[in-house]
Amino acid sequence: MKVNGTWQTLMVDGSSLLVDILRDRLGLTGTKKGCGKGDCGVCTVLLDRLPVNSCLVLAVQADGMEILTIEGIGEESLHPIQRAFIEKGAIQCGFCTPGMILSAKALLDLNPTPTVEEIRQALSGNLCRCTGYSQIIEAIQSLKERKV
Amino acid sequence: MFDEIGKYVKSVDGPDKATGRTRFAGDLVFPNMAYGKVHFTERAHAKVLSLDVSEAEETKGVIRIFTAKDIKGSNGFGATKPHQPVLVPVGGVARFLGDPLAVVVAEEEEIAREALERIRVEYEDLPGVFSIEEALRPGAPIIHSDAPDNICGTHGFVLGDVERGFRESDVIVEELISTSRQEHAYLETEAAVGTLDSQGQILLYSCIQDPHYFASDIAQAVGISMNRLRVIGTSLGGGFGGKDDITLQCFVVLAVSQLRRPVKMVYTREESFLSSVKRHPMEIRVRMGAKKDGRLQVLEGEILADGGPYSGRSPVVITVAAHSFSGPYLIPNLRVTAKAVYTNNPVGGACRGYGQPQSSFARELVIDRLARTLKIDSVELRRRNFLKQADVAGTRLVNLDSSVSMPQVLDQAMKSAGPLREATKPLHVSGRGVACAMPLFDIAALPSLGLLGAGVTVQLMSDGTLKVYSTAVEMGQGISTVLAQIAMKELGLTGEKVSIVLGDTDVAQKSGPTTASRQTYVSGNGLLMALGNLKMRILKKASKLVGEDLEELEFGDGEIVSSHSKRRISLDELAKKCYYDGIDLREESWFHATHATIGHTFMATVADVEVDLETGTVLVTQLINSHDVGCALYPAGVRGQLIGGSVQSLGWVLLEDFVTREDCYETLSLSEYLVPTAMDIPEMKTCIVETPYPTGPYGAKGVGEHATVSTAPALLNAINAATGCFFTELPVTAEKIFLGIGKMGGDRSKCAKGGGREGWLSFKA
Repeated sequence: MKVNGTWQTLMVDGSSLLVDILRDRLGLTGTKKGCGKGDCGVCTVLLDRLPVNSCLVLAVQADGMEILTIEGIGEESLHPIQRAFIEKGAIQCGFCTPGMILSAKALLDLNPTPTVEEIRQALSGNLCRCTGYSQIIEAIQSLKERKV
Repeated sequence: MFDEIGKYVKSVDGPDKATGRTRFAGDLVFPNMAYGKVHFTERAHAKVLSLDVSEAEETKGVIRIFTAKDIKGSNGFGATKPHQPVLVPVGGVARFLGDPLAVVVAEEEEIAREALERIRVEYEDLPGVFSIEEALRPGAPIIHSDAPDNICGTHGFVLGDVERGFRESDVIVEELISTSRQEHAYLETEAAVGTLDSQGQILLYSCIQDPHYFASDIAQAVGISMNRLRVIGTSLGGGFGGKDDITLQCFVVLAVSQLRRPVKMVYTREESFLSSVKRHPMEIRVRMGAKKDGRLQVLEGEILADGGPYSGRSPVVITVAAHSFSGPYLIPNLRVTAKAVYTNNPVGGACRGYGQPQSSFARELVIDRLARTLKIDSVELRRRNFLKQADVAGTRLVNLDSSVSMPQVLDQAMKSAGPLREATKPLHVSGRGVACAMPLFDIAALPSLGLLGAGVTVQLMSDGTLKVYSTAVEMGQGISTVLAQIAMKELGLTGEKVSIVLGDTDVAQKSGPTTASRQTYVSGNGLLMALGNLKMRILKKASKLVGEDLEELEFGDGEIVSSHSKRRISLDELAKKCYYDGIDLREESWFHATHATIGHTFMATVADVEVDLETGTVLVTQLINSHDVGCALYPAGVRGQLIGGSVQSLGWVLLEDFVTREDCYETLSLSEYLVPTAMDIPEMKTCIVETPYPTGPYGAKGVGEHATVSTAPALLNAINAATGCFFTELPVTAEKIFLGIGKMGGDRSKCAKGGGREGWLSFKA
């Protein structure tokens, strides 16, 4: 699988979850674990550009696919979405943030000018217990006019 | 000068969090690390007759299984009474489903999990108590022999003459209000990693809200000396009070101390929900009397809280509930009694607001009830009764030493709300609810929980950069940003020259818990004191170096300048000279909260809702939170706390209920225990009022918990106003609303036309 632009060849157990391989084998701990059941979205990564809960994906299912984790965007300087999150106060504890940013990226890649309703929909699988979501929605809205 | 106080600055922890670089406790790994898993009791109240771990121990990859026998310490912890067992011993009693019996440590997490299934336990079931009512019933099963009445704490006080107050009232209303058990539902579950440092000392990393308290309680419970334990509180992935109590930390320290190798434990969501503390469910009987013109004469409250099986923080939570009961109103006659009872339900703990959300909820609901009875607008009724500066607040402990800005706070909220929007669809009704509160911060006057102050250490490094050491905890609320702003302003340093180092018990003093909305106040003041001393030493040195009188010198941007000769020396140069001269530019402070009272703030929430009469569903259309925070040092953070707290409260009102049965908990996942999603939130507005608080840093008070104190009653008042029902029990689900409207006469179309609003039915589903 191609992780953050680099092809990785790994031998994995048939039952290994993508989230565990990313975190434990590749050290990409920006992807969090919050429930193991696809309820909270903190393990969101992009699999061939689409957001998935990596706790519900077997590592073998990602064979040959492209994976983007939070470590893969804005490596050199911050990505505009990351900047918007910081500027708009959309980050508090930071535990949902990587997943939120990836869900936002998937949305904006497909739909650069989403309505508020579309933003809410796109984030509905990512729980945040700190911010109350408003500032996250504002951050994504602020990007509508810019090319991301 | 780099004066960023009160500006919309970026958070100092933002970039690391946005890039996923922040290391949470569960992200840490060490070589040769083992993993631990807990075996919890399978019975809510039972004597443990035997515990057989032999088969589990033979599992390949299992290193050791720890039981109570392995603990050399007291095997008990707890904030008010150290009687909660680290591990329940054979012959001991398990008192709720989250009580642990054994810890398996294995080479891999999966092996430890498998081994759990091979642990055999024999129990002798004991009769249990599962509600406040059952706990107080004569002849109820006894949970602790030293509390035969199942009372774990009481508090009460009287002001004025309550009987006379009722006699002199024209109208008296009485209601029983009950609130549900809220789970904190921080997204980061409990995690701890222990290792040995190069000198053999145990080093514990964990997501906790008070590193020094944890170090001391863990050491005595596990039985290791404190000079062999160093605790580092990591960045918290949400806390809300739930990480102020010990969970798995003792297990990790126990295992590391005996195995002498790194051990990691991370709770699954289910384990977290099963064993962690919850917001106390409360039943509050309220009687309130007033004159015809709405002047409040008397308030009486009987507060009962389900504290679960261990004392924990219950005695303090009910005390705070009692003292915040009368809120921002002048009520001459007041009687409050509060009791926390032992049950075999989950342990009640600190949860954002600490008893205030429950008691304020009860009061504000009844004020609306009273307004309806008196036919006075509920906002007007509140206005007529606000405390003024010279008044004695009903909280008794609060000395109203600064102006009471409640009228401005409410006015701003109402102005920001605008007119109530009409319902958008047929058979929908809209309603507005308002609630006011006087949320507390830094409850230093309450029974000692180490909240009396905070120490902060600062060090000007030899290159002229600054480190600030504190054991305050960053959980996204912004304490690191606030401390950095203060340091930048005081020393004229740019942001990259200031580092905030948090959470390490070996390098920083006690800051007390990061709870009670207190850190901006106590650590902000502590930092100002430390910087004050440091600045004096810097100026003295500068005076010698530039040959100017002390009085002529002042801090500029990164330098010390003489105001008349313009001679100057940069901080970098001065720091380097001090380093070579053997002068350590390090200062420690201790800010003691000498005010010996409780800090108070003023808060109002306006909630607008639209209720679908056919389904009972509630659409919250807007929530306005207005708050006097004294001075908003970090406005984006203040706004974040107001909105976040308000949405957490929205969940408490509409969705959240940790459902317990005797033999199992029904809501052990985030698909069963529902918290608000991005789809559930209304338009959120905030109004920040700033009346400087005389003893606050730059006039600042606290904010962290406060939106939870006024949001819930505002929301329910809105639902009650819209439907004409009087719901008094949380959560107010669509089902309850649907049934409640039905009980009003069943004709939903009449209700929509306002027919239903005439009668006020007290209703419990």
